[in-house]
Amino acid sequence: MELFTILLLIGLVVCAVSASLAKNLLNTLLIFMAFSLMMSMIWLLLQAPDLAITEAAVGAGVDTVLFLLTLKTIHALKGTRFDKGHDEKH
Amino acid sequence: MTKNIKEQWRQFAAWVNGVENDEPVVTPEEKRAARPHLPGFVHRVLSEKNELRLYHAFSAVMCLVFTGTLLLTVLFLPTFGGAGNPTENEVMERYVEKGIEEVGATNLISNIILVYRGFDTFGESCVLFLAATCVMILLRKDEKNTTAYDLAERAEDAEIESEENTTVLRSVVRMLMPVILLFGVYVLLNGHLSPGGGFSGGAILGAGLILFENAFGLEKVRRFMSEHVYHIIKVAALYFYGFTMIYVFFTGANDLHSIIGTGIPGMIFSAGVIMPINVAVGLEVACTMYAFYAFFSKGEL
Repeated sequence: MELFTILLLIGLVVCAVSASLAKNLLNTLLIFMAFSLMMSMIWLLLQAPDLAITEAAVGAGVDTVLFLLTLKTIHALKGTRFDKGHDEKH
Repeated sequence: MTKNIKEQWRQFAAWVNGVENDEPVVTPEEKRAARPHLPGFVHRVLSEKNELRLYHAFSAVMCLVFTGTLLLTVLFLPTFGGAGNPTENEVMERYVEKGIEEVGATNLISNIILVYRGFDTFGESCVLFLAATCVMILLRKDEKNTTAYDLAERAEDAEIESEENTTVLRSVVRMLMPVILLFGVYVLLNGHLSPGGGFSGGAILGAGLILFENAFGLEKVRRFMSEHVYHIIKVAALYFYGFTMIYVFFTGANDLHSIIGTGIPGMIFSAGVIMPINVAVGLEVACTMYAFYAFFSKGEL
């Protein structure tokens, strides 16, 4: 179990660094989601199941959806059908 | 050999980042126009590449300073679980030893959050409600702030959505939806017995609603969750929470006999106000989550 915890903690650091280094915002978002999932597992191992449930539902679920919608609204989703590039406002 | 690997890695990174190979050609005049924030002489001294490098270096330094400050603060924190910590006082002991007897919930966290620290939580909920209301005001689209561009964009989105083949998504949602909603309701109703509570349960319900909207569209959700229903649930839940807390504060502060008993710990109808408040908070959170999503993506409920 200790090994698992250490793996999760290493994963957290890797996710945090790669999320800030990724060039594509969509990738950053997905890495952030993975970060939240790992964080919720760590909460569970730290015996805080209340926080784990909230982290999984809010951090990994709803947060990601809201971020995705933000990226879609500002046309920053590269490589998807929402990337309208040089679409000019008005 | 190493160069080959490097090249392959560069191609792989470009593919991951979704970068196209053909970079557009930029003339010097365009470069000059692209940096209007710099005065003329700086523009001559500082090339575009160096400007970018300057920003990178500056952001790296800022990052290091912040990280260092935070780590330095951690050094001065009391050790985890130390005997002389300020948190090790009689308050915690009382929560753990008398919590079940005095409040009646077997989940100590909900005892503390909703009863012992009920005043703080109520204040926090008010702040959250205010924040959510402000976001709603900003995101709401009606005839006064909808431009032709917005309308065109929405029509385009609707067209793309109608052409999309969502069979897989719909089948999966059809199977998952009852489970998600049931789990959300379980977490809500068992907030005083097991981990969870109003906020987590509400977030699960809200996430389920968002998934349902994604698969079946706004019209299907409107059958049970129109703007009218949303307003009724939101206001009713908030009023219920407020009046219950007022009653609890009033009787508690004046040492009056409260008609709300604690019940038998471990039963579903126990722990006095905790379960009803959890349900109210959960409905509020679920509605707010879904409304955030709907307002953000469609501008309407």
